[in-house]
Amino acid sequence: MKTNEPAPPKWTIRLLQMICPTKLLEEIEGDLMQEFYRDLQRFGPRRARREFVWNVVRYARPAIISRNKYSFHLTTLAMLSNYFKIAWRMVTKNMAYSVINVFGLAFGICACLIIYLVVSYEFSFDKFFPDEDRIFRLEITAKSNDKEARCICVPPPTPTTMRQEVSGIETVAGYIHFDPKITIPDGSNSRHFERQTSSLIIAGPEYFDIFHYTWLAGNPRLIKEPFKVVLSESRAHAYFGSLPADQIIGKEIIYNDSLQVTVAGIVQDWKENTDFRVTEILSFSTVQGSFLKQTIPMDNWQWYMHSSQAFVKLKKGISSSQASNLMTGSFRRHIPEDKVAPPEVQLMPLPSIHFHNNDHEESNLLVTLYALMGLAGFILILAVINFVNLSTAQSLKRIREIGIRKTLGSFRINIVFQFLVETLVLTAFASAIALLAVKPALSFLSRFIPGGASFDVSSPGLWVFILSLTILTTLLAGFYPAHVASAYRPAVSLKGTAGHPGSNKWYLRKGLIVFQFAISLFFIVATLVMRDQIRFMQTKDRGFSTHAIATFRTSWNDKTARTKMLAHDIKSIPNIAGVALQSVPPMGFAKMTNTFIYKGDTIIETGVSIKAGNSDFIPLYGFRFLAGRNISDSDSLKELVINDYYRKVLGFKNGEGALGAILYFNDKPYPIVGVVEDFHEQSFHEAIGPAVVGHWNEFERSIAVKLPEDVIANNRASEVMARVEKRFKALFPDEPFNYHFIEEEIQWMHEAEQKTESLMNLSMTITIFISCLGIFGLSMYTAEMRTKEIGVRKVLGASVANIVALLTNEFIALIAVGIGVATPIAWYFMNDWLSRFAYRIDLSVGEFLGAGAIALSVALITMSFHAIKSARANPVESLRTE
Amino acid sequence: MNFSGVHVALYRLEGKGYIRSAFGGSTKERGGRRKRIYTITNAGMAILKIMQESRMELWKMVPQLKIHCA
Repeated sequence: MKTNEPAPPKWTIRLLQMICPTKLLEEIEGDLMQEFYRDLQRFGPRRARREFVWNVVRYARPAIISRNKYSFHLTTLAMLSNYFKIAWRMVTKNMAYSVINVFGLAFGICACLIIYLVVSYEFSFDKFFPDEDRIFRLEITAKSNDKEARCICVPPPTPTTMRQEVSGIETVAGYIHFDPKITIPDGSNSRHFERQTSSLIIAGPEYFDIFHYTWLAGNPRLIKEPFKVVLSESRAHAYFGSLPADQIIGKEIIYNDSLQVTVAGIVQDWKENTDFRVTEILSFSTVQGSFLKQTIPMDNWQWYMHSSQAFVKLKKGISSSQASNLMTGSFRRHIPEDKVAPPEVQLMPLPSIHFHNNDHEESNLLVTLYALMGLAGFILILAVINFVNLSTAQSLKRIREIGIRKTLGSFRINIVFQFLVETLVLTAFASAIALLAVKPALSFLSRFIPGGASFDVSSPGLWVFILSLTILTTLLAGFYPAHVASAYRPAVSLKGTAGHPGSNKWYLRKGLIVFQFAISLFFIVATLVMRDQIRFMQTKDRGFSTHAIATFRTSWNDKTARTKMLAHDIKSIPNIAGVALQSVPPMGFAKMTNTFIYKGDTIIETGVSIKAGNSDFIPLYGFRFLAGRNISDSDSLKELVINDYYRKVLGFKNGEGALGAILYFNDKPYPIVGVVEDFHEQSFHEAIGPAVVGHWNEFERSIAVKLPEDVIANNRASEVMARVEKRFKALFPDEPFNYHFIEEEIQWMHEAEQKTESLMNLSMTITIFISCLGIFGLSMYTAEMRTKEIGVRKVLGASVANIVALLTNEFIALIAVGIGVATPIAWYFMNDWLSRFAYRIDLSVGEFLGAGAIALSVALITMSFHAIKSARANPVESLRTE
Repeated sequence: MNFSGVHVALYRLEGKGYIRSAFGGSTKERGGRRKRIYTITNAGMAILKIMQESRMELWKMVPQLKIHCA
């Protein structure tokens, strides 16, 4: 070609090559070139080039670019339906394996579903408030070197001061809980409502700026005035029946028989999940004009009570750490300086308060939820392991099928896809079974599951979760078997020599079995250890008698001697073995601590637990004296009995030495007249500390009643207690009569452990079940594959025992390895769990041996089913087909 | 009708089976590229006939009025 001959620009040709599918390129290029040369002759080179470029550019249209690129292959569809058909045939042909796989997976998926329901319920709290990201709860913390104290409370003057002194705050609202007796006056038939915890607060209008309510009647401004109350709709209905909201406005309510207020507003109850149980809001200005003035010290910066709390809404763009620093600064200006543990104001975000509803730094609920999520994951993984093991083993049987598929043109990706489809079919079955099982499982597990966590089929989140769980499980369970099956080379697999059963290549399968049994063993050990510890806590001597003793409170603010009178009355009831006045029972949730001073050679100041009681207290509970005598009932000369621990703290060599020593409490002298053996006051997590028993009338607002043995034995306790109630109501007509046995309270203290133990028990059952399901399937498979070998062995004289040993040996070895792996891990975690108890059992070899024995024997029983069956089979049957 | 439009139309007709194509010889004026020669198939001819007839049918339905201007 001559160099000076005009030609179309090179880049246009390249562009055309990019645009056009190769199949069409030659023709199009040719046509364009032909046109170019014609234009060259007709219009000259410039216009010819221009036309050429324009023509090329116009080829950039979808009909050209994507021609023959996307097409719908009918074969794909045909193969897909073939995959489903084969999958279904496989499911029905290997019914036993399919059932094992489906049930295992259904277990795992069901566990995941239930835990999903629980977790999504717990995480749904307090998420519905407008501006929830700017709302925080005020908490006061104090850190010293070794301790951190935290109180979900603020001294009453805090909110007002913060509002004035701290910038960056949009609103701050303090409120105070108040649990009054409620009367709805209505002529002669006034109605009374008993006190309810946490349902009534005293708050200002700011409260409504932070927490959004829908007003059915009235408005938040009215709550500025004194003697006004706002009711929630449900509360208003409880008080005034089905009156319409605007007619309830102006009605009267009387608190504690003396505080008369009128209803100023009705608000809708929150329907969403929330920790706020408030249904009644009394205006803050009421405090000044009523008896509340005496109980709520509005300018006391030292008043740390849980009843006084505050929430803040920050301005946009202010971070919580900025705000808490400013608040801490302001707070410290108003309190006496504290160098040891300077208090800090901390802000807890509103969505987190559900997990931090007590004064502990870390949230037990969160830990439990994470543990549950982990548990769900483990159970699912165990089921997936079964699936992987069984289907990789099964894929050996299908070597020929895969070989033929590959010879007929299947790519590896097609085989992978086929196996994934099979997995999907089984997983879908499992998901369906899990869905059906959720409801019964929920009611079976109702002890562990919060009431609000329900199975709601209409929630879209649930379906998204199930769908993604099914897909995830399919991929987890299906990927490895598909990978293995698709890797067989057709030339080898059609010859039928690849992958001998029992070959040593299956490291992964062995590893997975070890893993399964390690987890099972861990749960067995955990269950055994927890059971032992709980039995220990239930049976250990507590230093006093808890048997058949019921306690009940009278009234905290009883200024008269009615409690004493009641105790005296009760003594006259037949079938009562003893009655004592007390502040709190010796062991229970409540504990009162104060400082006692001993001025001996050195001054010893100790924080001591106070058990107030009259002279009947020590004999009723059967405290054992080491020295001295019981206290007397005298009101003038106060005497003390101390526990042995306190005796040691005070430095006396023995009980006798301590007698007569003087302790000072609130600057008053108290002589020690007796020493008793140490006794447990709190749960077994807490160590025994110093304690005194003394007679303080002002603290004794509770009564302990000991019932005789035959009353308990004949189940007549409630009958006797009903008589006690009659006497109680005669003296305290307005107080509720709630009694419980001390044994019950001790049970409650260890409820968390009991629950953990049952949860472990359940996890143990599930993990063992799933693991055994797995080896059940695998042993069935091995027995099947080795039928001929077994036949030959039997003909040559092997005994049933020999053959059973042959079939189980390998699994036993694997399980033993699993036990070996799990033992140190279980030891570490259980030791850690036990270390949270001050009084605990030691881990014993017996627990581990027992756990190992359980795991091995359960596995053996499972396997022996097939082993014995095939060992006893007549060799004629198995060898005949050859 | 531009080049790309012609090509797209031809490919679609070929896809439907109304025309057939085969490569002819290469010539210098095409820069050495072969020419694709399209021939109509029997099916294509039949459909052409049907289209022609239906058009004629339509044409017949139009009233053939003559307007005389004064």
